[in-house]
Amino acid sequence: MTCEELRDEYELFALGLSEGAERRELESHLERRCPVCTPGVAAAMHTVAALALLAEPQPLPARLRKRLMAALGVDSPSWFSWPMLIPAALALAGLLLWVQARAGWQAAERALASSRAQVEQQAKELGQLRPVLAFLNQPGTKLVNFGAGPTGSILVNAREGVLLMASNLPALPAGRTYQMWLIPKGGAPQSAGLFQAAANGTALHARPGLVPAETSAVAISVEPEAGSTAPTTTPILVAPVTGF
Amino acid sequence: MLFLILSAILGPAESRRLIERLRARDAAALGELYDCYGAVVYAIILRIARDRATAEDLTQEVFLRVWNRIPTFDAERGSLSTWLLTIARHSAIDFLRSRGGKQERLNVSIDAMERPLAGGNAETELQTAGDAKRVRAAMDRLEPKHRQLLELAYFDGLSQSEMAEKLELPLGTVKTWVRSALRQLRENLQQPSGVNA
Ligand SMILES: [Zn+2]
Repeated sequence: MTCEELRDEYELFALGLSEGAERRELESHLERRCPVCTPGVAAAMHTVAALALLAEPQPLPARLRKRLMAALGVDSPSWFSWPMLIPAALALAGLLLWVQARAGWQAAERALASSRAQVEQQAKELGQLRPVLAFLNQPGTKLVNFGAGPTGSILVNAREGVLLMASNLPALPAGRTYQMWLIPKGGAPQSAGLFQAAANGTALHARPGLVPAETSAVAISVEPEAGSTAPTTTPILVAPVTGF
Repeated sequence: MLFLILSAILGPAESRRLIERLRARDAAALGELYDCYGAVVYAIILRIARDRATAEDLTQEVFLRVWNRIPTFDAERGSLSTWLLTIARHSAIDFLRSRGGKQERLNVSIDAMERPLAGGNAETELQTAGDAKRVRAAMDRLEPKHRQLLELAYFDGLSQSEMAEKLELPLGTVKTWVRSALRQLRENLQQPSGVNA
């Protein structure tokens, strides 16, 4: 279809009403960064976003700003430490995996965000999550989600380290272990430690310490029990990490 | 009175600086973004989700999402407020649909929709007070049945078939009306506003 024929589709797309062949066609124009449709849809999204202004203005609860800033860890950056992180991360991983199993990553992300939202309110129950959230909110922490086969997420912070939370890991034969690797751009993989998955296929693995700036991916491979100096099998996961 | 508070002006230069600071993980910048758009985000979420506690949670979530995703946002290429309000609407509608037991989500690839796009006047930030008048005036000039459809789509996240079912109209009619409503809205918004300040 031509851009001209798609013109009326822009606002429908921005509203989420575009469907069928037209939608696929427009998506393909957007994918190839069509110089007509891309700015057209951008302008349509701007128009549609402006409809938000039709909502009756509401008094904004004052506590909400405080909660937001607290969730960013602005008020107390010092809770973060690796020894505290491990049990906390286990709890968070459990939460994420539970949500993920139910409703996919978007919901997981929401659960993560809303646990952050509850941090202040329910400091008691969620207190143990604070270190993970603090890690997540450290300046420069990058969250990379991965799916297909093993699913989960990797948190990378250049100064603090790498945290892996995964589910759906295959059970390993006796005498084998999982090994995590940091892969530098154009260089040899560096071991980032050995770990085992729980019986339900979940795992949590932390590699504290500076992360080399040239690291471009985090990988997991299956290795002999004592670990390897370089991967000896094709990694079951290679997650690109950038911008940490 | 509230509208005066809402009417923070975010010009292109301010917007760019704010984005740079967000990318540099300056938490105070998120506070400033919140001061500009928090009330609009909260209002639209509350209108969609119709529950104050939920609206508070989702509002916080939306700002944290912006905070976490700002590295993917290209300051040269889109409006922060458009992006923010798109995310806000999606979060609230997603909540509504998941609560209604509907597995299917908005008929959009959320990731694609939340990716800022280049062009047009789209990099202009929405000015909450001025633009609200303009949008309301543009909506007021639509035929009521057309306006109703846009509101059902925008605030209730209904698909065209769902609107047809709800309003007991043939699907073809809904599709025609939605298209002309959107075309009319676009034209109304492009016209110099007939609203007196
Ligand atoms: Zn095109």
